Amino acid sequence: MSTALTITTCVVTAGLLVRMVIAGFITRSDLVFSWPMFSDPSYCYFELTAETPTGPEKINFWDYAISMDLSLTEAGAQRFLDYLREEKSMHVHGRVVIDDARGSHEMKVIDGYLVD
Amino acid sequence: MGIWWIDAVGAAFDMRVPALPSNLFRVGIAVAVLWKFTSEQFCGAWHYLDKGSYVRFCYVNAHPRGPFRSLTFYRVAYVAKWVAAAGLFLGIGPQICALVLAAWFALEIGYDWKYHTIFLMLACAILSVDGGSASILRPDQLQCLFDTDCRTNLVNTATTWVWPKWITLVVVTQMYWASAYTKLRLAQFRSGTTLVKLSRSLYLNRPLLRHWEYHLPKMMVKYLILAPDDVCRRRWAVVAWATIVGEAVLPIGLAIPVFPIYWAAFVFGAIMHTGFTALHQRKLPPYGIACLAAYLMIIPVPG
Repeated sequence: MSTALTITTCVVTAGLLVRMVIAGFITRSDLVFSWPMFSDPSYCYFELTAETPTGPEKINFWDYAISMDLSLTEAGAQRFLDYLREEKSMHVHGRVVIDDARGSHEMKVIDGYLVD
Repeated sequence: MGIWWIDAVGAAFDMRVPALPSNLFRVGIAVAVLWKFTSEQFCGAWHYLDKGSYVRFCYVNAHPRGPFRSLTFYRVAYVAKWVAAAGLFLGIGPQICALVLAAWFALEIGYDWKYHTIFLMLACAILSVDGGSASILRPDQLQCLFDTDCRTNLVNTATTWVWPKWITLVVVTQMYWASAYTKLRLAQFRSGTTLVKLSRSLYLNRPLLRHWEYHLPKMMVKYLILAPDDVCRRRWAVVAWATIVGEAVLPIGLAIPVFPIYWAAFVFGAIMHTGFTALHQRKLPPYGIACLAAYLMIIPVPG
């Protein structure tokens, strides 16, 4: 192996190790190398109804999501309501329950907006 | 038997190791990737970023300049990932295929962020610098692989660079230890509360899901989900502590260059990932397969 390749390998390795230590054990919130699997989930339960010309229609979040999501926060819930309002022109009512490390927290949904 | 990962550092990574673990790693990762892609294909992945979809709405909000805003680019990348996965499995241009897959996963986490996707991305990035990952297990070697003498000679002479093996050990160790450390710090996880909430969320939302994702056995529902809160918490706390201890100890077992200890750790890891997969049977098999492939990659080097 050439000297240049050896030096490059050692520098890249040292950089990766530092990055792994910071992400995994200090900040613990980075995109890569943090790995908090199953440790701090946040759940969201929606009970939403949209007013349509043919009458009220139930909205199921999981019809729109890729798959079961175990990290749905309040921001995620608001994003879904924004989507219904902006993309689908749906004005929904109902309630949203967020269950995370702080406990269970219920919010009303009025005309597509979360209301505490 | 020396300790190969110490020898590698001592040699500044200028060292060769047998190529068979690398080949098994490549095939295992390719199987995991193909499994993941097939499963997602059946769930409509081709249309994830169609105009008007919720996934696209989230993606564009999070990445206003993201390349997947172009549906054409998404579709081209989608085809490329399948070609690369097939190439990686067959050992045709494995390094470039692994690089394409690593790039795909880096883009995929922009609209569907999952830990197992990150692990697959890192595994593919490692394979992209491993020049010996297709020196044994590839279609044009099949005739040789069925002949005992030829196979023995091929396996005994094929070598590859040590760095991919070394960094795989580091990634596996860091993943389990960082995960165990985070869990250990969270009182909610230690008490079993997190796992009670997780299992109840899976149970309550299952009938609402668009596609089949998991099955929860009746026994599990009865004893771990619908039982009174404090009983569930006590039962899940056992699982929580077993996971923390398992994740902390497993990398040590895999790194010790003694075959019986290594294989015991391997079996333990396989059982642990089977347990994880029991919670989500559609999404987690590729992660389990990829982890087992990584264990094979870091098998001790015979002295």
